[in-house]
Amino acid sequence: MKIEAWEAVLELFEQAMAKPEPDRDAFVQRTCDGDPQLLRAVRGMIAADRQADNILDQPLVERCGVRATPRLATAAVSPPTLPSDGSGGLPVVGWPPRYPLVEPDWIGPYRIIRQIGQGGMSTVYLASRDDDTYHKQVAIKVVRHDLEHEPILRRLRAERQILASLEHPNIARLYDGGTTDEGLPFFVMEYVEGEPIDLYCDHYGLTVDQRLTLFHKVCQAVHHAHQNLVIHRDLKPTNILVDRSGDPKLLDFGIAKVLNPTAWALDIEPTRTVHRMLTPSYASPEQYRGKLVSTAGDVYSLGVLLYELLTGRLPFDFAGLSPAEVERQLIETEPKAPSMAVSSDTAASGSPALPRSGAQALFAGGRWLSKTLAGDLDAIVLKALRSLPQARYGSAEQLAAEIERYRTGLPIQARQGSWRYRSYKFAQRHRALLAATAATGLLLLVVAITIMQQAARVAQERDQAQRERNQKSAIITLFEDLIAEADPLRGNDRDLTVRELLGGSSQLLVGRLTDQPATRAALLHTTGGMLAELASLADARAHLEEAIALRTANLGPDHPETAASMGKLARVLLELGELTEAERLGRRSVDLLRQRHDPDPIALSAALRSFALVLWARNDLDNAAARAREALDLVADGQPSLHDTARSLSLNLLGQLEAQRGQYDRAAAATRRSLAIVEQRYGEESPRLIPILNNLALALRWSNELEEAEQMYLRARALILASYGENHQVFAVSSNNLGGVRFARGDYDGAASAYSEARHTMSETLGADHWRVFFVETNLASARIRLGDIATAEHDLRAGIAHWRARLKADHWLFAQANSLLGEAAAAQGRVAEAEDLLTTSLRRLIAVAAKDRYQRKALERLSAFLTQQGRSDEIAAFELLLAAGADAT
Amino acid sequence: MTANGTDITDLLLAWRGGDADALAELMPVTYRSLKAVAARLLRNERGGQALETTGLVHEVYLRLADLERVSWQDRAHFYALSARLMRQILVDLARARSRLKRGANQVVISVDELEPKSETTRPPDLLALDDALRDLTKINAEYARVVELRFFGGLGRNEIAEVLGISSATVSRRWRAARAWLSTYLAEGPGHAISRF
Repeated sequence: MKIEAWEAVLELFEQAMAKPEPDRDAFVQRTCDGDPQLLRAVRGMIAADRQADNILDQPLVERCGVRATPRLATAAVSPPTLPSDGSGGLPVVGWPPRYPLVEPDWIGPYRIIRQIGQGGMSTVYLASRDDDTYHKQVAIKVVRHDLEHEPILRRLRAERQILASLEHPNIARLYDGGTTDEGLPFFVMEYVEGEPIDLYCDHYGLTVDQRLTLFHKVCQAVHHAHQNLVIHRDLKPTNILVDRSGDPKLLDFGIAKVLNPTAWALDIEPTRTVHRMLTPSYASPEQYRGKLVSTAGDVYSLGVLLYELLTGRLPFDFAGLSPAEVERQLIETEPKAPSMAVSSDTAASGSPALPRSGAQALFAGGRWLSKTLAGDLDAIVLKALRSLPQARYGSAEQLAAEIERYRTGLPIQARQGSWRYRSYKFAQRHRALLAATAATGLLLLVVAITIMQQAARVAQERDQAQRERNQKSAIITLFEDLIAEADPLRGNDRDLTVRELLGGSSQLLVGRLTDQPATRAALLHTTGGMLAELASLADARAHLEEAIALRTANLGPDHPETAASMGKLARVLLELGELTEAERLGRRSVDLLRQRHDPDPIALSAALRSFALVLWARNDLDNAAARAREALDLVADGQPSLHDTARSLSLNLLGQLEAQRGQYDRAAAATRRSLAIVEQRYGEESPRLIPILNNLALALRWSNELEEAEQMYLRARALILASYGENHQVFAVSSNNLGGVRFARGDYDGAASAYSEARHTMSETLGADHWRVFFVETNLASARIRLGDIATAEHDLRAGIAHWRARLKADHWLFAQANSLLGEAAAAQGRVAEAEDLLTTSLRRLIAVAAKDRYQRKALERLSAFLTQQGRSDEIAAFELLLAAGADAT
Repeated sequence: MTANGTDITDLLLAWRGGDADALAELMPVTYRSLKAVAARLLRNERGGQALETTGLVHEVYLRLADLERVSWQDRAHFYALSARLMRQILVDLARARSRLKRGANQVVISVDELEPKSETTRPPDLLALDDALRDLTKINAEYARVVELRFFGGLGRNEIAEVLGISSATVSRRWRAARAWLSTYLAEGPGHAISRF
């Protein structure tokens, strides 16, 4: 290969790495189409990238104990002063060596007694703190990891209070933490003398029931931690010791979070480090993929533990598999049921088995054990191990309760219907209803997606697992109630509209969750946003104002969640025309989120979009576009797919703003990117594409790409018909726009048919008196004039003027528009004097009332055509001047 | 040898000020300093003394420049220079070792001896790596520079970004690509990776 070819390989590899892992290979194949050498080289690099033991991973200078250079960042702040005796004690901590060179005597104020454990990543010492008054043995875990220690310290400070307050008889206390002289993070914990739970069970030959009792205690301890907003993230037997009295103690709670891998400097992708950090056999599929970690992840790990305690083997055998293969197995396959695992002959000798001497008592009698496990215990274990988090037990407590039900002979819940199952059943029962109210279905979908996003955001931002679960279940309960209300079998024999459904939510929210302000605020925030979408502005405002009040009282006025609600309220106020207050709130929301040390890109992006809309309304297009671009940059590229939605929304908004500024090419480019994201994420049939297609078509239309514009409208039209049906405002607006493009292309027939569809739907949905109906009628008439059907056009225009004369203010621009068209009609029929009068007065009128520029231009075009036809084209310039002057005046 | 801090600092400032000749002077001076540090390290090692990591870093630090007089950017470029020299020194050491293995009757220093005991990491073949980096430099020097600064200089991501005048995100991307590329190169040999230039 030539040098250029290798450069292309490197570049392609970088591009591939920016794609989510599942899409990578397809991308590479596509891009290398027809170049097997290139394909092979890039694939080879991707395979090499996955290998953990790259010699480059540890800087050579550190292997040798030499660092060629002192740390820049620290040196920059204050040049370090060095002790003159040269006896070490270098104040600037270098890049922490991965391996401490010598056994320490002291770590912080703790005297090291001896090493008591060594794992892949950490060393544990027994140590004591000798004060005058106080003599206590502790365990100190030193983590060998070349994470940058600054963020670790920061996170440790943030977490320390929570972790230190985690008091439970079955959880080892965390006393302290910090970094060693070499910059390695350490944690000071309660010293527990005991045996890992799996070894303990085997050692003492515990029965199934005794194992369940022990496991039950573990679940309760985990639940206690979850209630205190701590997720373990790395539950495994070596982290669960059983002491001499037979009580389990959980170690390392919350430490995984402090070591949160995303801060690692050169190792790039969080998931990669996650692979390194966690113990694959016990990690949940979502954790393995580097997704959000939640309580459900701990529940999964508990499931693995239970599997192991009951069968003596692990649910999956990952030996020799690549990370991608492990992931596939985790997601696509269900582990063998425990009863099957212990009975099958192959499993007995299979590699996942963990043959241990003490295990004989339990695991030798395969047949008998298999019978015990079959049924309920199989169901319990497999439910805890579901690959979808929401399909598992909702909490460790639920898992504990289930174990208790089993032990006391009660029916277990793993074998009963879930909420998903019930709502599936609901959908099956009411297919016809749901089809009839397609819009309702769509909005419920939007509702569901919004809730999920909200929940995911809450989880990501705060990792407050318990709260997330509460809020999720509160929201689900609310919507279950709403659906129940909508269920015609319960007495309502007509279809509820979404508006009524959500209006119902206001009723349902009365007096609900008053003891849980955070959850109530989240609900108000979500429903408020949805009400705004439905243009129930007053209700939306009330919801959001209460959400802000609750969050201000509960979390503080500067909290990011408070700010997020402010951003939403700003949009509602904008719709309500309260521009000043909207601007104030929008700006404040952005400022608050920006101020944060580590702003949440999604929340800040949303706030910036709201603010950009306000600025747009203020006609400050340059600033609005700048904010939209900022909103986009925050979620720009190489980010997890979590950012997709924010990115597409920002691009779409930016596109609209560029179109407003007359930058149609840029508008089209931005909108196209938005379209591509949504297509990739939600498929080419997604209703989410509708507004984007519409905006793209508009941008294309004004940059005179008429053919493509029409195609976009036709695509949008198909989607609109599928999700809204033809009796919907959206269909009417889209049909009208389609007519406009066809008119511009000279397809007057097609234009007329699109306009008449628009007119029909418009009067059905808005009522026959709405000004928009008049607007579409004038469009229809313009197409008919071009088609030569002048009589109909004139008749309709005259009838329209007469009809709306009583309903619109006299100087409405549509009257002038209609008169201009009547002028064109008169000219076509040779009524010269009438035509001239109509064309000139209507143009003056349009200029006087400052109608949109393009309607003024069209009226001028009609007049110009007439004057040219009359051989008076020299008079056109005067009217052009008039129009230009009018434009200046406005 | 006049390798005291002030000399180096002046040379550094001159170099940054546009005096290209200063670099020619700066390189050997810095090289000697680094090599002296490496030699001291090895004497201690043979004398059976425990390795004093911090002391050594300290030593390099003290000898190389009067850092208070140098701006951050100057330091960044200075470290970049040190990283390059470190690469040379360490590769020279490795070459010397390989000569010894071939039976030459020389007193040489082994890179392996410098390593702390470690079961999990194998010693890198520095000569092969050096060759690979030369080829990578031909393809795109930026990638090779990132590796040099990281692997031989021990610089962090932001430091590398500062030295090369690129964003930290770009450093990460370059590093990842270079890491994977070098890994395939070293596994399959130059025959596969770069043959027909």
